[in-house]
Amino acid sequence: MARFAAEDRVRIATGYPLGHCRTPWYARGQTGVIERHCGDFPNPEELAYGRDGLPAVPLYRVRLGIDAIWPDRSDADRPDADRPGADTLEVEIFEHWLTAAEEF
Amino acid sequence: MHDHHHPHPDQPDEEDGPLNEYRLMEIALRELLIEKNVISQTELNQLYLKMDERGPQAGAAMIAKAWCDPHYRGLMRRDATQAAREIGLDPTWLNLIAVENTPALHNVVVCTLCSCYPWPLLGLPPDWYKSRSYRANVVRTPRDVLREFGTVLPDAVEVRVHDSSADMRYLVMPMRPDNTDGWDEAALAKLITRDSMIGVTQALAP
Amino acid sequence: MDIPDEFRGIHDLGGALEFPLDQSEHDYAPWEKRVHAVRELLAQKGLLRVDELRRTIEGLGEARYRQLSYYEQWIWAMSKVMVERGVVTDHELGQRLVEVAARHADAVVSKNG
Repeated sequence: MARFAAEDRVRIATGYPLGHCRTPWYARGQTGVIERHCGDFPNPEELAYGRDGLPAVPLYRVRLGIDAIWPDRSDADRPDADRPGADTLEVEIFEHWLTAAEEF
Repeated sequence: MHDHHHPHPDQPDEEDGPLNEYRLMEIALRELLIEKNVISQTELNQLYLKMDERGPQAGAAMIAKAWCDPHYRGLMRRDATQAAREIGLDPTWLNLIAVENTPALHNVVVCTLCSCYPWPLLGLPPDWYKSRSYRANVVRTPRDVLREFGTVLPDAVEVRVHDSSADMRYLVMPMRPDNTDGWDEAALAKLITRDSMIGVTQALAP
Repeated sequence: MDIPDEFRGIHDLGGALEFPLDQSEHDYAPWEKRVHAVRELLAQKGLLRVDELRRTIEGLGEARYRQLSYYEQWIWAMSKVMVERGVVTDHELGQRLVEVAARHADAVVSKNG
């Protein structure tokens, strides 16, 4: 039973597992919006060690703002972050890394 | 067009160059796997041939069809994996999402953590896609990276980067170029390059 | 406390800018295509998961991760995982490597010169 739906605001956990995980470093601690629930898939953190990764875990695409992750990024022609068109990054995150974020 | 493609254990291919320890490992592992009937030479040859022939044609065919057929375009948006099946692909492990470029949005795909790529649709990925610099840079400074590939986008266009961090794979649907009215799918497919389906370029102009 | 980058995976490159931007490509060598095909076959047969290969590669250490080419990393990982899974034994693989090296003695150039 997927906890989240498209448009939900979520926070990606911080956390520094020493094994295999598919939550990129840049995404940890970020807040974003669910773009979709992709389906449920075996947990790669378990598959990496030859275990079956079941029960399957809901996987989501989370939309993040690039300027929010890297406020000091240098793009030669980057648009002002407050204008429409600010660039986005969508990344796949498993449910156990997600909690609901408060509304602003 | 094809070189001899049969992996003969005792005859390393001339074009492979000098052997190092990793090349030796490839030979050793393959021999053991075949001797133990874990894999067969026949199925290896078949898959090798299939991969060897695979280029971006399947991806280009899907996009050309989507440009011409509104029903198929709708399917690409809703269920791109099913859309792949409808053109005869049987990608049992592929969970595909097609992301559509518009005048307001430009999509580009990366796998920052390794090299995930929809190879049944596009063939094997180019080295640069798997390189440290692409994986590091495109998520943070996508416009700089696009500029290196010759793609400059107005400020008002949103750039959206897709990181294939888990089970999904992505195909960018470039915008249909101007002055292609009435073109058939085969002709349109020739404008749709691998790089445009990764998202670092647009489709070719006619 | 800010967790130091110490725990950042060597493979976890998103945002860690590197220059110049690599735009190279090369035609895949037959041995590379064979590695890819064997990997696909083993995965299709349920004998390994790509996740195990990724985990193995991520354990290479920074220097070797940079030094090994893409398919060198994969054949290393496949060999390790096949041993872990008991499909081949470490001893068999080690012995076969010696035999293969002897067969191709004239052609071998070590990775590190």
